[in-house]
Amino acid sequence: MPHLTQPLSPRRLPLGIGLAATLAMALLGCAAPEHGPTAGSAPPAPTASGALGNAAYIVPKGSPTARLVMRAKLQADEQYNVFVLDDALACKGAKRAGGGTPQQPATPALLAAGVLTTLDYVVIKAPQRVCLVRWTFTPEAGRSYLLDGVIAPAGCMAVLFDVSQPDQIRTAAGALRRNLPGQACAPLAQSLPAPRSPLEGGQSEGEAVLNPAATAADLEGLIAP
Amino acid sequence: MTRPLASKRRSPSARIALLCAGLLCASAVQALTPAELFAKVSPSIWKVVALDADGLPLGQGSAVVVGPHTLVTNCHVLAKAKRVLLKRDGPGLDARLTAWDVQRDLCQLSAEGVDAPAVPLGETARLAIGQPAYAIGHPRGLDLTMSEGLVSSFRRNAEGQLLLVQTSAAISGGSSGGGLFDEQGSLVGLTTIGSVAAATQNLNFAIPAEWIKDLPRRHQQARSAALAAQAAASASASAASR
Repeated sequence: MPHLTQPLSPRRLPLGIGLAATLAMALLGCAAPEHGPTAGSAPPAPTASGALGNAAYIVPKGSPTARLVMRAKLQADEQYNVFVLDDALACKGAKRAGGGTPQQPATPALLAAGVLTTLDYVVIKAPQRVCLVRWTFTPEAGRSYLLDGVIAPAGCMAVLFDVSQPDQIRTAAGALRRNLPGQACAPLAQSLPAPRSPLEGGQSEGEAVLNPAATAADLEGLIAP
Repeated sequence: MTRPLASKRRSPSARIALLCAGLLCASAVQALTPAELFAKVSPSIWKVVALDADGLPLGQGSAVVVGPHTLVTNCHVLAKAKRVLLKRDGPGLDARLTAWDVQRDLCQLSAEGVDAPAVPLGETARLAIGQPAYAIGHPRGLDLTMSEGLVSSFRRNAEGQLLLVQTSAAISGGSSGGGLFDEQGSLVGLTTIGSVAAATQNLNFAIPAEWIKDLPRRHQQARSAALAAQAAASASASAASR
């Protein structure tokens, strides 16, 4: 996945002092540590087959669709599943959209476009250790998305990309990570935007900006009342 | 009769050659050597030290003097700081955050004790890929380090607007907020982003100098919007408590 997410690994370049910044950087994008199936903030316990439920996700008839490609860098004893949740806000009602193993890659799925959608990316590692990454976004009709994950020693990582233009892969617009430390289903307002390359930039009120979502929160200690 | 006249007249190609030679000559006159450029602008490059509530350093970067007692740096250099020091040779000078545009990662600091001259602001529209570029900053805490490279490219957003000037001039941690200069010593960008992966080399980026000119206006707009939102929230909270 790193070759997709950050081909240049661009970094802002203050000189950090102390370990905190280094650790934060190393963990950038790590979404959730692995949990045992009984952990409080862990996702619903998987069945022996690794699925959260048997029901398959089906796009409502007549709905415009977007394509979802699923990838994962897995060890031999790992598998993953991707679920679409019936209740995108409350994170309830998992329906399986696809999944794969090291031997069998996932088949792309169709998502209903134009509706708020929550995806669960669940990794099963023998004997049933679970890692969950939960993203909410609104798929756009006709676009292609990639949910790309990897297991790392510090946790698992999965990022949702818009791959409609394969030579210009970007994090999916508006995607928010819902499972945060201590919160399995954070409210949208508290959820985290997808990590994005600072080279991507954007616009704010028609003007070019590096990060449209940036806030002055980190400067509060210096802003005179 | 015709020959002397012909000797005074020059063919179009000869005229072009002369014109080009003249331009090169003019350009050579204006261009500074790296040593001259460093002597000219380095007094205006300061080190920024961000301190926490206990006065311990959180990080450091660089800043460029762009007006009387006024410097610009990257906002990410100041993240979570409670106090900011500007340093050159002597003890640090306390600086105030006087304007910020976090979406562009551009912050303005003011400190009365900074009396270095402002650097001239260049125009990125006049830059050409391949022309020399010089970065000056405080990478890894190594005071006033200069590196030489090229303007490598221009990075734009999806709408085609300029985001970053790409340069092969080397920068490292601590360079953030330092200056990227053209060969006349005009500031064309603030070094902001570098590629640190082992598989890449010389891929560094500076936010464009034009954003410095926009800073007061954009800061004022954002500040007004934030204060209005704050007032609305406070009015709504007070109405709810009645």
